[in-house]
Amino acid sequence: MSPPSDPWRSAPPRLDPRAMERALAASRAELALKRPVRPWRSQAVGVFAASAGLALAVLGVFLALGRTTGAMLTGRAPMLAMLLSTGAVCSWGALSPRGRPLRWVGVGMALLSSALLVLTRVAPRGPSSLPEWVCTVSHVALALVPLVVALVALRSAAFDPLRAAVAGLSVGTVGAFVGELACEQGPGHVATYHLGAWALLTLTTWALSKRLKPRTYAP
Amino acid sequence: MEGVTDEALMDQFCQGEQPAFEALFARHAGRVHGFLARMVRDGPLAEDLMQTTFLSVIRARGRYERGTRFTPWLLTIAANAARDALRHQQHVDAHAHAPPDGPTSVPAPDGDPAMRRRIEDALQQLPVEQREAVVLSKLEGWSFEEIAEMRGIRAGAARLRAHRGYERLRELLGGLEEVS
Repeated sequence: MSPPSDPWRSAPPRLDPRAMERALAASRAELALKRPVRPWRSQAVGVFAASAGLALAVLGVFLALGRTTGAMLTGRAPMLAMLLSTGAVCSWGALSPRGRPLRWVGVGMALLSSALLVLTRVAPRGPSSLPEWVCTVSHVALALVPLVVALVALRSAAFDPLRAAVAGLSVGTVGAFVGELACEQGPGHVATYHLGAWALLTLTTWALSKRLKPRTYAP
Repeated sequence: MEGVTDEALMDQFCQGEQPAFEALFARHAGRVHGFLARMVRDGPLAEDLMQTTFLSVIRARGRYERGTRFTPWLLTIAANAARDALRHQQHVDAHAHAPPDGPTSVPAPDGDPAMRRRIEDALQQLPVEQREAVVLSKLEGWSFEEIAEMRGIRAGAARLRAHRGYERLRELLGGLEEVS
């Protein structure tokens, strides 16, 4: 008489050899395409470079046009450095396979940057000639290219809400950077029209990333 | 390739050696399929997801970090694929319009088939998170710390998911002992 078997330990349905052959053939076909393998680190650098490069390019244009002076840049350098650092940490955290603690650091840095953007802003110099929503539109428009880069990079891993949100925070830093350089409005305006745009970009990145089918389900 | 660890094979594969991938496939295809079959309880879908899992290994080898234990990494990919399929009820077109005549995977001969069927029926009634925790801890032998790391939650939360799963299974299975 054979001992009673543990139903939990019973073998699962056996894999049909034909199904195994199909899967192996599909894998070989994928390998035959010889697609370049991009390490996650280079993807993270790419996401950061898209935001930071755009921000620095706009800064260069402002300097060339005289919209920004050296003295003004020096005064705002700590805030601008904080925004670039936030973008770097968020990009790295979003793409890192084991970056969950870093993602929370990125969220913290983004919250701190947001608070500093509002608290360090002095009263407006005068009434603006443009509607206030122009700042929101500009913030979003500047982030379009980094947004696409981030979405492409995010598809290389399984969807993770925190990962997507942190990538969105990284994308939003470019608009915050340019807003800090170009906008002379007061703290209320920054809190509403700039941070609102940053939040909108974070939400958009999260929503689009959730909708897109990932290329891989890797962590 | 015998005697070479999974991690060493994955390192070789990351450096471009295709035979290393095929060795990993031969070692783990059955286990991955078994895990997926328990997660989705649909033979053709489990086979599709097994294929998706290994395609993910190929495409995501740039995300594999040296020193990472291969089997948990692989089963994390399989679990993510299963969750996505279950959540969105995605199925390949070949199986979408007509129900299959039956699973192409043949049932294993060992064990009590009636009992196994009851357990599998009950497992399917658990929420995905609880099912995953039960399958990984009870059947795959993962620790709660490993499950927690995979899902980005605390070990206590992983334990709670599995505990709730066991409690629910107890209710569903009635007199069956040894659920947890």
